[in-house]
Amino acid sequence: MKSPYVPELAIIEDIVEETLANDVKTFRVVFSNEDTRRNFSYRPGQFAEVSVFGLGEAPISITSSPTQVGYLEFAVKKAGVLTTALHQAEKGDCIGVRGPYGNVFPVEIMEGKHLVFIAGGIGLAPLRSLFNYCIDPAHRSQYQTVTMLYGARSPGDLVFKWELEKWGARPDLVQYVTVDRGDGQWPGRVGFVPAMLMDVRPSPEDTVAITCGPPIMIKFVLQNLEQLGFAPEQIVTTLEMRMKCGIGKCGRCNIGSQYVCLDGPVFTYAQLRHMPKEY
Amino acid sequence: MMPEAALKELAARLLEEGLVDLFIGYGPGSLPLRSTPVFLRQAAGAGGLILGPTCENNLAPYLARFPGERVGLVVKACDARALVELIRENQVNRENLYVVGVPCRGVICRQKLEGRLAGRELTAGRIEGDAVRCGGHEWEEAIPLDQLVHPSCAHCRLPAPELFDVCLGDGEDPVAASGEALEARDARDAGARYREFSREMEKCLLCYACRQACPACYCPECFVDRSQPAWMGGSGDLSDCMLFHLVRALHVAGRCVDCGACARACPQRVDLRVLNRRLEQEARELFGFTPGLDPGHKTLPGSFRPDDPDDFVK
Amino acid sequence: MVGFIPEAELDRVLARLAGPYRLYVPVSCAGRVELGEWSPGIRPVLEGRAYGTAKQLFLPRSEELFAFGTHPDGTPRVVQPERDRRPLALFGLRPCDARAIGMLDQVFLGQDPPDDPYRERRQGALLMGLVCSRPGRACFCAQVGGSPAGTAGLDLLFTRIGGGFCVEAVSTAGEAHAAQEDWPAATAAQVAGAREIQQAAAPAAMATPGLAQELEARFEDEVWARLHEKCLGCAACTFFCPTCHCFDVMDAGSYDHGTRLRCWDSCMFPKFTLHASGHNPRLSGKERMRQRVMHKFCYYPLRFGPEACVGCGRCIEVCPVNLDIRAVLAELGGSE
Repeated sequence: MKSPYVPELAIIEDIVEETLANDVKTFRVVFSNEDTRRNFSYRPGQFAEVSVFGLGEAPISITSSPTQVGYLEFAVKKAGVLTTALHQAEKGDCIGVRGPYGNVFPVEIMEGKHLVFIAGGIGLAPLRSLFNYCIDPAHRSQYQTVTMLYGARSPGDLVFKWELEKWGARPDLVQYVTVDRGDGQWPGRVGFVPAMLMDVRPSPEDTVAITCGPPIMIKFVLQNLEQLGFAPEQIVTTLEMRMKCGIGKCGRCNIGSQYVCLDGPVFTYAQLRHMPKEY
Repeated sequence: MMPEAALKELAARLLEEGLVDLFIGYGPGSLPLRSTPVFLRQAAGAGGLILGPTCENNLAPYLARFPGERVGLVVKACDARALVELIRENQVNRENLYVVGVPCRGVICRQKLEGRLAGRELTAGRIEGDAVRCGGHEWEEAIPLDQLVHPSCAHCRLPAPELFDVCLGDGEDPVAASGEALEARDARDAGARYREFSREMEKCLLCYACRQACPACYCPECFVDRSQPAWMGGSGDLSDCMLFHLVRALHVAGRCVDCGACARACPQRVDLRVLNRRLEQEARELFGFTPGLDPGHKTLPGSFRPDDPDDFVK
Repeated sequence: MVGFIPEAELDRVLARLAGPYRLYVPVSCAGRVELGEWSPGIRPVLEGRAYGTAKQLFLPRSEELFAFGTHPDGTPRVVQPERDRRPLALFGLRPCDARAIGMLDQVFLGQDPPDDPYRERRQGALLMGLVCSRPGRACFCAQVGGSPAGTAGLDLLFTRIGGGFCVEAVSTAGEAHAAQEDWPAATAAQVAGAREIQQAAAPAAMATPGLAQELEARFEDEVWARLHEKCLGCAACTFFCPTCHCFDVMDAGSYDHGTRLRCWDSCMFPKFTLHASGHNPRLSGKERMRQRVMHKFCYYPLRFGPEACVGCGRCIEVCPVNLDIRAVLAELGGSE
């Protein structure tokens, strides 16, 4: 029997350099084994443990959507040992992937609702899976308006720019993009994401807000959403914790009695409010 | 007045008069012949302070946790030497410290005690003069204290505190003959020494109790915890254990005061002093330097003499 | 049925086990009791409990999860290790230690997916317990819902009476083994003797209902600042705890030739929760000690029911500064 710790082999098929500073890259990977390629099924919000043999593994959210068939995408910010090694990888290199792990965004609860996505920096990566899932022609009709509010520190730090353009052109989506500071050529909005949220003022009526970003952004986004009248149950976020096993054994990623790898990474603000502030 | 009674009175007065914010000493432990560090902020607790051969911990490492507070600290001679090093290395502000030197006849080595008990469980114990009275299920035995003192105490050449604001009780002789001859250089061949070293290192679990108990190990981030670059694998294999202990020994060379706190903290009874002792000897014989004596002296690794026998820096 | 094994027969009973099983018994080792592999001539130590835990037999300090390397054409390959397929048998296990294994089972086997390396060792293992006739100086099993004659996690329970051992099967695996061994039945007097010892050993139940809920509400309590004061922040308590099971996963070697390892880790280490970004949700010793206590007495119970502490007292014995978990619990308003 196969151990849950043994990853499947996967080939890096494509690498996209997302940011000006080149500190975020998106890897498109394809499982070497055909059966795995067919059978690996995941839903928006889940993550996988990505291995670079010889250096270890790290949990990384799956940024592609299940509607994109045949491959997985991981957007990786260069930070630790593993992600630095991944950044040195080239097309054709072989890595390990095991998963999917964790819970999923509550797509059923979102059905029939207005959706407001609020993301900052690399925080767009986990939301992108859900966003592309919801706006897929097969699912788009299940939701009312779909709005994306996205921001980064500078124009060069915006990730998935090629996709933002695509989304921005779609008449059935509303998109707002901001940067903390412009670069002289940036024609768009300048300011923080929480401030932009207060300008856009989405109505809480029949709406679910989904947010992910740096802790300081999340803090003010939550405050502002509450001010706009959103109930804690209407706010969904996804957390990051140091993890090792991904399957609730290694005892590392708990917040109180909740394991981020099993019970999360997706939590509603209603849940978060009852958890210790230790994340 | 007996030193312990004097200590209680002094700690109470220091706290009552607001001369210190915190007093760190020893209280009775929950196991026989054990003490436990206590942290007093009110005079009321001072009556629970104890002294004696069960006070095996070096309390100096706690000081880093209370920056800016005025702390009263109980020190045995070796602890005082550790304090001198911490002051020399600007880790402790002498002005915020009230140092209470206490007499020491050596502390009990739990490993030696276990050896003597040969599997019998100790459920009661007390010190009476020069005897350690031990008791358990249907047995009693008095063991002379000098047979139980920790090896670092048995080799202690400096049993009186060198640094203090008050020294309680003076001139109590250590149980071990002080100034025991310097150990002879280990004459065994390298293979035999390596085998012994390996045997000790194989016991190590990398729990880092030694490092945490050591007053000289105050790095905010230990090299073993670095991940970029990762100096050590962390799997706990023999090479990891050797690397950790060798680097630690070198890092505390010329700074280690041989208080033995590391060895007593080790749950696996690794003979940790085997490395430190040798380096201490080198410092003394090659450079005439004994750590922990004169806070005005430069650190050994930070000083250079023109008559240095080696020419690598010239 | 209660069987009886005369003292002189024990050696033969163990010898029969040692073929099909990897048999571990408490042995004397440099003045301490440790679990050691049995071989002819080794006499188990029946007094006191082992200094180390039985968990290390099921969750070793460090183990290989798999090896990796490359095929001649340069593509990577992954190889799962071959482990000793003989099941483990433990004789002389104390009821607290057996109970702890049951708690590890919940984590490693009770939640999907099961942990494969653990299951390989645990499956078919025969746990033979020995009733404690006298509590040790650091024992407090009764305060955390255990008993010196407890059967949780065990297959066979041995009670030492004059001249030998009364043996009772306390699980289906134990029953199967007892049937196979066909030990002679204990006499009524022997059974009565065993019951007397078991009852004398069994303390008054002192469970602490509601402790988990109470602790959950005390996460931000000031008491933690005081409780962790003397803690040095080493991992001795966690490494010697029979229920602590946190581990790290890491690679040794290189892309071409290496192994992925699983090694004990500890929530007492600063690196345990350090994010790659530099953020650390548990910054100081206070948060880390709180995590250790809360995991045992709040988080684990909320998830699985019982407290993740069996009262073996090892953490008390190995703590360099004699930080006593019983005192911590008393201060937190639990037992004592």
